[in-house]
Amino acid sequence: MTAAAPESPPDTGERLGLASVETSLVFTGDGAEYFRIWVVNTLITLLTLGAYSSWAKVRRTRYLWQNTRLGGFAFDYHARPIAILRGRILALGLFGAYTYAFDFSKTAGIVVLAALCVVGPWLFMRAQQFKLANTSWRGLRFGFDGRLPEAFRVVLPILILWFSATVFPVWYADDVPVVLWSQLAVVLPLPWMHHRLKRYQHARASYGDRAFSFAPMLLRFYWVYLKGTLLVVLGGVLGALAIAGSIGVTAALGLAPDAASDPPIVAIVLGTLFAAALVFVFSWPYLAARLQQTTWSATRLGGVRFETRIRAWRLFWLTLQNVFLTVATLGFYWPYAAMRFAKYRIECMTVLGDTPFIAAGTHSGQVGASGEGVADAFGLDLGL
Amino acid sequence: MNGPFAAWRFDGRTAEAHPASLCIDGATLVIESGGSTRRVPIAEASISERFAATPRMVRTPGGETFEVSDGPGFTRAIEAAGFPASAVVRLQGWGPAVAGALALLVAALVLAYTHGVPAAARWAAHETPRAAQERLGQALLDLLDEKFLAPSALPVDVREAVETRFASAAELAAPSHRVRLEFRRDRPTEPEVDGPEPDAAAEEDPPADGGEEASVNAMSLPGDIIVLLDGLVDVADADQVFAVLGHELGHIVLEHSMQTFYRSAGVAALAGLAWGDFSGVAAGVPIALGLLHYDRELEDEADDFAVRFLTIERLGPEALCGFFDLILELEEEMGVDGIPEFLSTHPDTSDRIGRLCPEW
Repeated sequence: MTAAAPESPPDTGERLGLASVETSLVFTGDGAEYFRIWVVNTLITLLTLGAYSSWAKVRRTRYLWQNTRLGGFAFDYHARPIAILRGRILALGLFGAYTYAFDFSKTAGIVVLAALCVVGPWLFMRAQQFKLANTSWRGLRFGFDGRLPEAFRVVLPILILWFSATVFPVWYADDVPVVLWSQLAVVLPLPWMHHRLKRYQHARASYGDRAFSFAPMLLRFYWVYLKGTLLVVLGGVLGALAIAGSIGVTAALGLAPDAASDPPIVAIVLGTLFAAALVFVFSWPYLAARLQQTTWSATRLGGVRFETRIRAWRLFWLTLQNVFLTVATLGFYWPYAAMRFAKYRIECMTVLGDTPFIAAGTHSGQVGASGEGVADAFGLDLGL
Repeated sequence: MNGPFAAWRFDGRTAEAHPASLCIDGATLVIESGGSTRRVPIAEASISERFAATPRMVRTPGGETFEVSDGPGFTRAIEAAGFPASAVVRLQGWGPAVAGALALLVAALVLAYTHGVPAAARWAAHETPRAAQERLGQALLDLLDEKFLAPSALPVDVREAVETRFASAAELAAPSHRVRLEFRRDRPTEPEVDGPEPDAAAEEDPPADGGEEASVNAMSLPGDIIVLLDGLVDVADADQVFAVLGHELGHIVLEHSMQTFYRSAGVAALAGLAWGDFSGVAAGVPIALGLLHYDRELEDEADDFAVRFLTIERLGPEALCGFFDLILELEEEMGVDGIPEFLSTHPDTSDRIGRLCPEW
């Protein structure tokens, strides 16, 4: 095993003969530089009533990808902002319809849900195609070999389950069994849904002419989610204690004499926000770390494997700092936080190959331009 | 002649990296790779944006990509050759401009919140077709009826008296509106009367204690609907009921429920634009607090309308203030702490009295 020093110049020939190569990802993004990009992006986005957000998105993604290097070579992002703008206008229309349709009538709501079930799988597939076809490394594009029937097979059950669980309670708020069932129907299949989408995303991805593959990991997903749920409970208990504590303090200070029996609203609201933050800080780092690790350990690109040496407690510590500083600065620390998250989560990944990864796609690596061209004309980036 | 800069050449069809070197000769790139030399006008090549630590990607019209490792050095050479970065990129790179952009960003956010969103909501509310408003109001009333409200138990003559008095005044105060006055009572069996009220401008509502007390409440819905609850008619005198209906008519004439509807969408969009980088959870807090502020503003506007409405019957603002006083007494009776103003949908009741009836 030879760990490639990130600064060493990339050398194709020397490594070709090696039996096994281990290459780390390196991230050079910088908080202060990204802050400038973020401020200018956000200002122009605001002044153009959101139209610039597509250009902002391209600049941000380019910044992230070009600062990410594998074996000394940077990734690149090629999306055309106007294509993203088209996609976003469509997504905004759908989202608006979904949000407000039920305010008008049940019929309108059901029509919108049905439309989403028809369009949703296609959108999801297109978004993957767009994202990957516009990402490159060493001059070669990634790709997504999505086909419509498969997209429906994968995404439609998830959409139906999700809608039935989120829309039913609106109609049957009085019917306790229905509400309980619908809550369970969201929670229990969540790992299954996540796994299903990840498998589809990774198994259909390609680099040049090489296809990625994904070995199913469903049980492992459930195990990670189970432990994550315990952390959610832990965060919830600590949050409840924090609420009780803040009420107790208010009472003890004599700010509100009967606080213990009749808690003031401020204490309840701030306590709830604090509890929500605690739940996030406790559970998200573990879930994010383990799911990233699990997903990539199941992924192969020919003979190339991916290893994620990520530590949940380090991500937890990082999250704690980032959340605190972001809240304390009313959001202005966010760009720094984003770069710290990106650096840790990218640099913990290692690419292992029997043959050097850089050889992938070397031979007859023709890019099928037709499908990608369509994706480019109707760019979608839904952040999935 | 500037350079040479070491680069890797990629043909875009394979991942193979070929060593190359780039020089800048006036407005031309001189590319040397694999023993051959080519000249490409810089204007015809597409060059990636400059960042501090990234390589520069140079794409030629032929579809080749050159990854120039010394990004900053190459940047200097390109810019010296007369190809400056775009205005936005230069803005990003210049400290004072970024500081100015930051100040402008904060100012734009504040202005959009205080003026932009309310103005847009007012316009959108005015432009919304009546049919759509009526549908929306009816859907909301159906929902309320299904979950929280029951038909009124007031004697018919009481209802008729309230309705006749209000209708004749409303005809003068708002001739272009056909207001539907709906009498309801809250359902005694339901312990929780929080109500969904997504955009109903709810009137004073001391939390119903275990459902024993009838809600002292009235609300306006889109489509010119006013819902009046029995509890209010029970505790308030006729002038006070008239004043409250004037307040609700104010919401209707000023198109408040549609405005609230659009304002919530506007604030969500604003928060999404400003904090779109990270997800909705963080953006939710400013949205919630921001909407509460808007609601209080609208309540004050409706109060002012009610005062003008009362003059139709030559009544002073005392009728409305008397109702607020009643609310204060009820709150005291039930031991409800005053909700701090920034967390409430309504202005503080004593403040409302102070504003409308200074000599009270």
